[in-house]
Amino acid sequence: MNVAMAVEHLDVAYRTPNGLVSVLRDISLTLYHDEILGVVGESGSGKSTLAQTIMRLFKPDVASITGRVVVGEQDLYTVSPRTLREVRWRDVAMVFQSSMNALNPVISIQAHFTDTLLAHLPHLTAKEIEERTRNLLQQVRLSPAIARNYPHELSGGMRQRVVIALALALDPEVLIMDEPTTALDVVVQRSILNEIAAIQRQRRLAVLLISHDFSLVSSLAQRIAVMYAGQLMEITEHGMNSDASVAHHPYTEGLIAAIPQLLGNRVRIDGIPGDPPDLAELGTGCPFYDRCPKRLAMCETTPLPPRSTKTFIRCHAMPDIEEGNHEG
Amino acid sequence: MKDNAVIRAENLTIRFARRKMPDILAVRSVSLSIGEKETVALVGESGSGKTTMGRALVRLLRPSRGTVWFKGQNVTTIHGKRLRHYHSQAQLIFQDPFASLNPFHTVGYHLERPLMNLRGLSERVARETVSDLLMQVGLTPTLVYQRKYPHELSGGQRQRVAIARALAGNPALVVADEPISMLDVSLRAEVLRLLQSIQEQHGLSYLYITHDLASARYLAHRIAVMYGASIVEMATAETLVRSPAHPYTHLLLAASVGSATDALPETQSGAPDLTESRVGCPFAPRCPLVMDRCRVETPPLVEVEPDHVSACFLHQEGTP
Repeated sequence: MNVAMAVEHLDVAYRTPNGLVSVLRDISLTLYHDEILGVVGESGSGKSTLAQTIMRLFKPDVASITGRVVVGEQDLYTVSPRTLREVRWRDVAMVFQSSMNALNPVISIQAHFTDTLLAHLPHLTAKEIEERTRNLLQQVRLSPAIARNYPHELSGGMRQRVVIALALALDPEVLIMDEPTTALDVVVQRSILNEIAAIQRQRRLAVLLISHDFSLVSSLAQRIAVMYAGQLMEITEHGMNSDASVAHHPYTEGLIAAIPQLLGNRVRIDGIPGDPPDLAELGTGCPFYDRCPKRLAMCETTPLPPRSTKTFIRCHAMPDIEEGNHEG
Repeated sequence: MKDNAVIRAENLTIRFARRKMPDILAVRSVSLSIGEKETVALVGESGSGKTTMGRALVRLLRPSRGTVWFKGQNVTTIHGKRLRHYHSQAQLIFQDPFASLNPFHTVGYHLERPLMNLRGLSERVARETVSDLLMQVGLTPTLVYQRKYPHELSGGQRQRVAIARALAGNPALVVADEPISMLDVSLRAEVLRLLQSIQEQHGLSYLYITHDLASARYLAHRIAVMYGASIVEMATAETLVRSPAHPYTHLLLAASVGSATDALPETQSGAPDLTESRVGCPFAPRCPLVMDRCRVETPPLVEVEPDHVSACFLHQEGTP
């Protein structure tokens, strides 16, 4: 498998009136071609910050950022503004939860496609643009006729489909989706996710799918990264499988036990006691220490072991876990 | 219908007027009853009428047609003192605990008000009762939480305050409208379990409004599925998720995470027609099994097996 995007030792701290607050700590992960890598976490875990950091959307006066985001040959944090502008959307495109509200209310859907395409491909003729728009809309199962419509004339689900089509307009290799269907109804959500999965297979895209919904991500992604308080706790290939043969980080286990099953035989659900930590007051040890049922004395102060393999579990209580070290 | 019903709605219709457009019926002739210590889940998509139904049951809305019976009394059109008394008996928990608490008031104040206004306690007694309520929802030490303001609490803690506030009037019925959908996964389970234990302690009846079938299966004894302002199917929770009868329930289940299938049994997506002039089954335009009859006649709820009703002509024709 080829690497589509590599995030290396990413540290992000927001600048606040009370000083720096670290929100991402030493995040390293590799996204391969032709895979969906899920990122799950609760509010405040840093998953959306991760998406925005990857796209280099923070101005230096908002956050202090160190580390690398490598797409193709280029580190997005060292390239010129001009190159960055080209790489965004052409190589890496994104869809956010509120994207559907980002459509410009006073221009037609067609004009959105025209703008996007011309910004990167100024030589396209009007006819080519129309042709491409039609194809893109069809890919997300919209009638090409809606190109004449304005955003307010479409339903939420249709608008989110338009945004996904826009993200695909320049044939990117990497697609970053942050809660792409969260605001939508169950049935619409499932139908859009089915389309995302089909498009991903067709184009062999590398998709980073960020969501708070573990069960939803686990039905789509090949690998899932679990974030907690700004750190990666685990990357697993086992999804929500919690058989005895499958090892998970204690936090991941807690999440799985907290989710009611639709059809399974497990009836009991258990929450994770306590609340997520205040990021401004985090110590050096494992951020899950306070809530962890398996904690050891060392966990309070010893930093989590660094890991960069394809799958891993970062936990002092589980040092013997075999790591899926396929790619290194 | 069960005789021990705490609340019973009969043929409830709720009409909303729109400017320069035909009125819509958000709830169209819906009947529903909830027994003592029973939880009924109302499941459906946005716009299906589930929230409107909940608000009509606690009489935040006055139904346009139909009757609401609470413990044998007709509360459909009561007002003034009687309505205030009813509000102490039938409480509502809202979806968004960030919006439902006043940022300028302490937790203690939020709980004292209903104790004084709904239960008529003196200020001194109300204050003592507050710590009792906080204890019940697990916010201890209660003295500390009493003095906190909403912004000092996490989402889960705020929802506990909202639950305590609902309990303050000593209700028999609580309508919980998506009480966990704004919360993080690790906190949802705790709130669901809290709702369960409070039900056992106080013998409460719940209407649990949600879009999430899995949590409905967990919390509820019976599940009613709403679509386009009507209840299209109702059964015990286990039966509904394991052997659904109505084509819309099939679609909803297929779309839910954890279902056995990925393919969605629908012909097209789109919102149902809610105007009064609609004829036929609300799901007919999307239904893969639609028949000519479905577009002109509205199918009634019929029993497909004991304690299991579904509104579909297919049940009369033979196989679903």
